[in-house]
Order: sequence, then structure tokens, then C-alpha cells
Amino acid sequence: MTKDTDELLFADSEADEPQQASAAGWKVLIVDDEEQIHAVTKMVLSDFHFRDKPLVFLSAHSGAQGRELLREHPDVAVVFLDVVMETENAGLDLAREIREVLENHFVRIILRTGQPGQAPERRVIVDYDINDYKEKSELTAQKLFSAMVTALRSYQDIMTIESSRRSLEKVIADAGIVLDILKSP
Amino acid sequence: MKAELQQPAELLADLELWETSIDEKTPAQSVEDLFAGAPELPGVVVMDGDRVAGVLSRRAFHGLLSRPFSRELYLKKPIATSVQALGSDVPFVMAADTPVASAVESALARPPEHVYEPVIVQKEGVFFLLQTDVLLRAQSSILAQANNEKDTLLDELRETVERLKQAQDRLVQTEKMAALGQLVAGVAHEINTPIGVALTAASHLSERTEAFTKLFSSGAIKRSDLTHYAELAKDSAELLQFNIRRAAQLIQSFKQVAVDQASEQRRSFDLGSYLSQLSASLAPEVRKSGNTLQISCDENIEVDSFPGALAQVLSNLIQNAIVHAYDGDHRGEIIVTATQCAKDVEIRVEDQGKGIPSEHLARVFDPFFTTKRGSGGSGLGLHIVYNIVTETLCGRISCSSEVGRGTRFTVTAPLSPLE
Repeated sequence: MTKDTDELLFADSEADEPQQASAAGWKVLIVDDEEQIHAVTKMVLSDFHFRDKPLVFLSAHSGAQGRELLREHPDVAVVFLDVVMETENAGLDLAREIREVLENHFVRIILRTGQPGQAPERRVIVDYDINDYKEKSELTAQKLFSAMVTALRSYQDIMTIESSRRSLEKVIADAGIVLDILKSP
Repeated sequence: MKAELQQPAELLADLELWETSIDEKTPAQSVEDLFAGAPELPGVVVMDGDRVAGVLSRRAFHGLLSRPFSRELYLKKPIATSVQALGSDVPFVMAADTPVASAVESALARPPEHVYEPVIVQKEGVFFLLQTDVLLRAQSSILAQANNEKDTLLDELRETVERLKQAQDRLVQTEKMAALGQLVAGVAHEINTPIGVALTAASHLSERTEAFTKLFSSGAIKRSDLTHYAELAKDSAELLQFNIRRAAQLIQSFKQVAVDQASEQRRSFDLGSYLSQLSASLAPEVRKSGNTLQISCDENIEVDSFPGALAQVLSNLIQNAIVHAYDGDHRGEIIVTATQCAKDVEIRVEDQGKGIPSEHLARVFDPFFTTKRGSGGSGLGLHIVYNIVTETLCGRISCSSEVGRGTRFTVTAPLSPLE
């Protein structure tokens, strides 16, 4: 392009993009009692795309709200989870509940703590089925981005395995029927 | 330490006894010879067969003989005559197992002229002579021993009290430091969030700026890129400002409270703004407990006092409400109200929690009184409050409570305590 002092503009098709996003994006749930955390996460990841799909954010301000949203949206891919909310361990409790009560083993849980002393990394990562541990005070945009990509990639892999498992199950079940048919004279 | 002290004799049997007895018909001359031959012998027991007829001490006998014509009068006669003349024919006999103390008492109760005469001790059917001064010495060594023991006990008691006091002081100090530690932890958590948000926003802004600069120098820039970037810069800057300001506020209030708490400096301050700083540093603790804290203060209360002490008092009272008033499933408000009454300031800390039973109410300020010993209560929180209010702030504190309705602590202290 020519080096004009003036700008070049391609004003087309931009209005369509956000609609696409909400239609088929990766659902990301932010659980944190700090509004600022919601704001900055959404801002940093606002034009994030993975495999051509954007993110769709869900916001919960307490462990309890987070639980409700996860019940409604079992297809959430990634949860950013704060530790200290309505109780000292609200986040860890929710992490356990997601796996044990909601039996959701697919969603990737990224623990984000402002108080590492409250939930020491070593203990938490061993005792709870979480997938990543970040301290709020070290989370640069780059780290947030990398954490997001890693989480989505493994989520996708898990979902691929899950769907092959399902089709395999179906194949086996179908094979049984075929066998039965073949056996019956 | 008492082992080296010899145990003093407690019974008459343990004392020095003389086993010299003579028949009452013995001539007095033979008794004089006996005394002359045994200069140690203090006296003799005078017997009438198996019966004690009296006692004759060397001193009394010589006293009798030194009277005019006495030698001629008595020496040739049986000793019984001398004994009668001396009035010592009423024998004073005590059992060998009589305690020294009661023996002294009865020995001293004798008629004055006989008080110093020996007493007779009966031991297994035999009669012995016991000098009164020996008896008195035994008594005095018992008393001395008892006195020593009392002194030793008193010393031990004093030492124990001193040690307990030191232990208490140390505990109080530890409790103070623990309160400071909690404050630090609370604020550290509180500050991590704004710092973290600011870091994320700043790094995001810098990445995007770099990308934008590249795009700009490549010349392939669109209008939408520019608006997008401008929007992002604006959002980032807002987030940065908000969060950095918040971090700064937290540091400010924490610094003040921590410094005041650690030192015991006196200074002039506006109570209202001090209380709101304090509330910022206590907020995390309160919020974590699921309760809410509401502080209200009359405007322009200028205080010249010890802010650290005041902070400690309020944070202990609030902590107390969290732990005691709202334990279990209770949650509620903690209301702090400060008003000025003439030259005093009155600060009330109220809750609507479970209240304090009347039998505990009188003891809440006692050191080590706690209903939560098992779960880590030291019983010092309110004691510290009491000490600080009465000693440092020169004020007073009272507590009223109704079970099931709530508790109110009222601190009244001068605006400017005297030095």
C-alpha cells in the first residue's frame, strides 16, 4: 500500500463476525468474585481464536453461580476458577464438585489464585483434578493466551477421543445386533 | 533443698531424756553426793515404789540447801522432805508420745515458781526427766523450721507468679504479632488481585501495541484496526488506572495500620478517615467470614491518641464478633459506630449474633477465659482489648449482651489521654 498519512479501510464483513462467534465458540466460564478479573480476561481474550472458533464468555461471581452455569452448560470447555470467594475454599470445592458431582471430566479447569498460601500449588494440583495453576499476580496477557491455547487443545483432544469412544461403542453395539441376526437362522 | 535441714523432734520421746530415779526414802545427803558426782545431771525423778512422788532438779535442790540452816534441816532426812519443801511433790507427768507443742503449752501452764522445773516423761512404764529448756528449744526449732518452710513456699509462690506473668506477657505479645500477621496475609491477598489485573492489562496493551506498530509500518492497516486498537488502549488504560489506584490505596491504609500496630506512637488523626482505612484492611477478613462490616463515624472527630492501640482494639473486637457471634451458620452485620461525647469518644461495636450467656458475661475480659479452647481460642483477645483500652487509651470498656439477640461492646476513651 502507499504510505499515505491517511488510513486505508476495508469496512466490509466486520459486522458479521460477532454473530458467528456466539453461534459456535468455545465456551469459557470465568468464576471470580472480582469484577476486574472478568473485565481484564474478556479484554485480553476478546479476539482470541482457536481452530477458527472464537470464545464465548460466561461469568459467575461465586462458586454457587459457577455450579449453576456449569449445570446449564455442560459443554463449557475451560473454567477460570478463583480460589477464595464466598468461602476460603469455594473454588477448590467447586473443582471437586465439577468432577465428582456434575461428573464433568472434560472441562479444563485453570485455577487462578490471588493467595498462593491459601492453596499451595503442589498440594492443589495433586489433590484436585485441575489442569493448570496460575497466580493472579504473574498472569501476563501472553501467559493467559498460552494457558488458553493449551487448555483448548487438550479439551479438543479429549472430545475427539470421547466421540471415537462413543462411535466405537455404537459400532460394538451394532456388531452385536448384526451377529445376533447372523446367528439366528 | 529441705533435705539438708534436720527434721526437728516432734514428740517428747525424741528429746534428750534422763533416766535417773531414786527412792523417796533415800537420804538427801546421798542425792547431794549424786549431784556432786555427776555434774551434767540436771535432776532426778523421785519414786515411791512404782509411783512418781515428785521431781527434784539440781537447781531447786541447791537453792533449798543454800537457805540458812537448810543443810542441817534436810540433808539427814529422806529426800521426800526436800521435795515437799520445794512443792515439787505434785508430779507433772506426760506421755512420751505427747507432741512437743502441746507439752510446751502444758509445761508453761504450771505455776510460775515451777515453770522452769523439769517435767517427767513416761515411756514404756519408765519415768524420765526432761529439762524444760530442752523442751522449749525443741519447740523453737520446730517454729523456725515451719517459718523456713513458709518462706521457701512464699519464694516459690512468688517465683511461680512471676513466671506466669512473663508467660502471659509473651502470649499477649504473640497474639499481637499474630494479629499483625493476619493483617499482612489479608492485605497480601487483597493486593494480588489489582496487581495481577494491572499486569495482565499492561502486558496485553504492550503486545497489541507491538502488533499494531508492525501493522502500521507494513502499511497494511485498516480503519477497523485503528479503532480496535484505540478501544483496546482505552480499556487497558482504564483497567490499569483503576487497579493501580486500588493497590495504592490498599498499601496506604495497610502501611498506616501496620506501622501503628507495630509501634505505639501517639499522633493526631481524624477518627473518621482512620476508621475507613482500618476498615479497608479488615475487609478481607470480614468478607471471608461471610459477614459484613459497617463503620460510621461522626465527622471531624480529631483525636490525639494511639492509633495502633485503637486499631488493635477494633480488630480484636471485630475478630471476636466473627469467631464468636457468628459462628456456625450465623452470618450478619458487624456495626461500628463512633460518636463524640464532650471530651470523650465513644466507639460501639455491635453484632446481632448469638450473644453471650450471662454466666460468661462477667468473665469475657479475664485472661485465658475462652469458650473455644479446643478450636484454638487463646482467651486473650478480649483481655488484650481490656488492657489496651484501660492502660494505653486511658478509657473503659463495657459489654452488654442478650443471648440470641447480639452483643455490644462500648469503648469510651478521652480524645486526648493525659501523658
